[in-house]
Amino acid sequence: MDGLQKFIEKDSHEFPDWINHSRESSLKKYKEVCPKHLKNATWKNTKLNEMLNDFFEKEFSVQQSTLDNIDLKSNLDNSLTIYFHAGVFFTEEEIPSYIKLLNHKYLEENQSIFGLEDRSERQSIPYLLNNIVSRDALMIDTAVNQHVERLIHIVYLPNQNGNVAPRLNINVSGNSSIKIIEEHLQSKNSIINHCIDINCEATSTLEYYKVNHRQNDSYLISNLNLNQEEDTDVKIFNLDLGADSGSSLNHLKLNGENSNVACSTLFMPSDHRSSHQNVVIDHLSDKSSSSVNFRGVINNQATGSFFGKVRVAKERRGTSAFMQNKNLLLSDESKISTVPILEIYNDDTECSHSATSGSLDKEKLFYLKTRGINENDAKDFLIKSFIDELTSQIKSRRLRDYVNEIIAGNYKV
Amino acid sequence: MSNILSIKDLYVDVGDTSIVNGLNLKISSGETHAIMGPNGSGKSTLAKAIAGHPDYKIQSGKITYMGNDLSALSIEERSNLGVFLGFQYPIEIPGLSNTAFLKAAINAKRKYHGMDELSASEFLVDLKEKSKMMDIEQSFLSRGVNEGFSGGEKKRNEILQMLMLEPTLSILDETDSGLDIDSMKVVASGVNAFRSKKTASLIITHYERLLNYITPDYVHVFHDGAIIKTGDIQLAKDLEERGYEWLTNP
Ligand SMILES: Nc1ncnc2c1ncn2[C@@H]1O[C@H](COP(=O)(O)OP(=O)(O)O)[C@@H](O)[C@H]1O
Ligand SMILES: [Mg+2]
Repeated sequence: MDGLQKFIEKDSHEFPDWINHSRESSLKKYKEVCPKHLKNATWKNTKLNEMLNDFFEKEFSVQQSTLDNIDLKSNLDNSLTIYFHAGVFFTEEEIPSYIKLLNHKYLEENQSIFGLEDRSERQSIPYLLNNIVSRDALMIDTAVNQHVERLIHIVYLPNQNGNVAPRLNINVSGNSSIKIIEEHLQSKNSIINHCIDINCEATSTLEYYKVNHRQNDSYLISNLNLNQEEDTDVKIFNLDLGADSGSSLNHLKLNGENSNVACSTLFMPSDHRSSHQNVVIDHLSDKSSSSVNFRGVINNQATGSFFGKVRVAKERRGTSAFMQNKNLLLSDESKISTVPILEIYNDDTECSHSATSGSLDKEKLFYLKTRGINENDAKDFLIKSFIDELTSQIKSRRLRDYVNEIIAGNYKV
Repeated sequence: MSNILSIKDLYVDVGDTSIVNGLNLKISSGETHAIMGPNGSGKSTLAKAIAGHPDYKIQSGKITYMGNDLSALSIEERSNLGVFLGFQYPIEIPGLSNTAFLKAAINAKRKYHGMDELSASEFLVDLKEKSKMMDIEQSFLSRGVNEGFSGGEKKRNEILQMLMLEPTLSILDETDSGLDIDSMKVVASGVNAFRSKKTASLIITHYERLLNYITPDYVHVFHDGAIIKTGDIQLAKDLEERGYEWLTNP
């Protein structure tokens, strides 16, 4: 005691009182929950401890690198691009009414974004740490019946020696629809702890994509909390290329009848990176359906893990839950662990789950080679086909191409 | 007539077990040979050893293909030089379309021989014609390799690949098993279209049925990893009537 306290006091003069109060109560909560959360399966095999040490002990530069040599052109035409750099969101475009960039001033009116409340997910290590560091938030709130045509592209610019905590709050209002892609560019020597809250009101639809580029000597935590009301349809696709320690935590709640969620992730850490994938789905209403499809491609000395849990309570009727995790190990030193769990307490649920891990199939390689295709190309084909099976399900063709292009630039046999 | 394949005193091991035991066989251009033998006698082992499967190890003896010692060539080189193996159990590769696969295979061979890539239109014309001949729907070609294909469709797809790759030596491992009569006729028409003065076929089969449509020049009876008798189509007919017993337990 008390490096943590010091951490808060260090820059408290920069903030209004209410933020300092919020930071303090988050810190208090953090001290309370941390020891028991550390034992949680979520953090098994991750380097959370190391990250926490760095978090409170390491000096991060407050003044981040300048934007001068960064090209602020989105490579997705016609999208509305919002950037995040040095702890703040900004855009060069006119901001439409359904988007709010919340700096201190506006945040005060929306303090509940940081509220700890009595929601357990808000009392997790990433959320509490995010509360302590965050100084800005992005809020997207569609109007009722609004169908946002433009793709929203949120780009997290590279950090150097930074400790940043982006906070995103999305509300998809009744009968509206929107498509969002978030992209974390390569950082170095940094901690990025990203929290995303999404609420989908009745009969809304959302396509949400996230691309985490390779992170160097950095920790990247991505925390997604989704709540869906009745007749909603959400499609999530994540691409994660790994960080020194990378964790994605997804908690998806199906809170209304006929709510459907499909959550797919391709994680492909290489070298010494890791990618830990965690998804928990709660079927809290009848006739809700979920489909979880995670694939790992683990190369070199990298580590991957999948932890998936689907919970369906006893009284639920007519639900369906599908969960699949397949992993490809590309080297003898690569490691994977997979834990798929279905907690289903009734017999009115259509469900299936499977998990497989292995190296490239020898018989498939042989088959390709007997058709004249050389070893490297054959391996390439098999890896690509493994990946394509997942990416071919991406709904938006443009984003499918975009994601495939990023993938193609990021693996070699 | 020139020599295409010559196998001399071949022994092949799978794990610690010797499966092919002293096999001798010569195939010249223009010829069609049939190998018949009971289940487990080592027919597929022979086929995979010729194609170069790493688990099927040549202990002694020699396989020469068009003057090349095959054991010195990689699997893909053998293919590029014109050896084709039609699999008894074709492999499914979801996510890789049949079209992309065939195109890659053809261009790999062309590259090996110092030729330019085949133009997309030439390729498609050829593919359309041959897949029609093999009674494979166009829509199947955009699916993953053999993905969700029935047994018969997989076998016809093997023949389609053979026709597209235009090999010199085609080894067909039980391409007829599990086929209904219509599929069998389609397969036979493909094989007959492939036969020429320059090419040769080695047809491994369990029944004599297929040989009613593809008349072989030689029929070999395979037992315990070696050829125990050679004859013509009449031998196949005798086998059909009398089984293998009269040869293996005289
Ligand atoms: N990959 C393998 N591993 C172990 N045993 C094998 C393998 N392939 C073939 N064998 C064995 O070799 C023998 C011959 O098999 P095979 O060549 O498939 O015969 P056929 O094609 O004539 O039915 C059988 O006893 C079979 O069990
Ligand atoms: Mg066989």
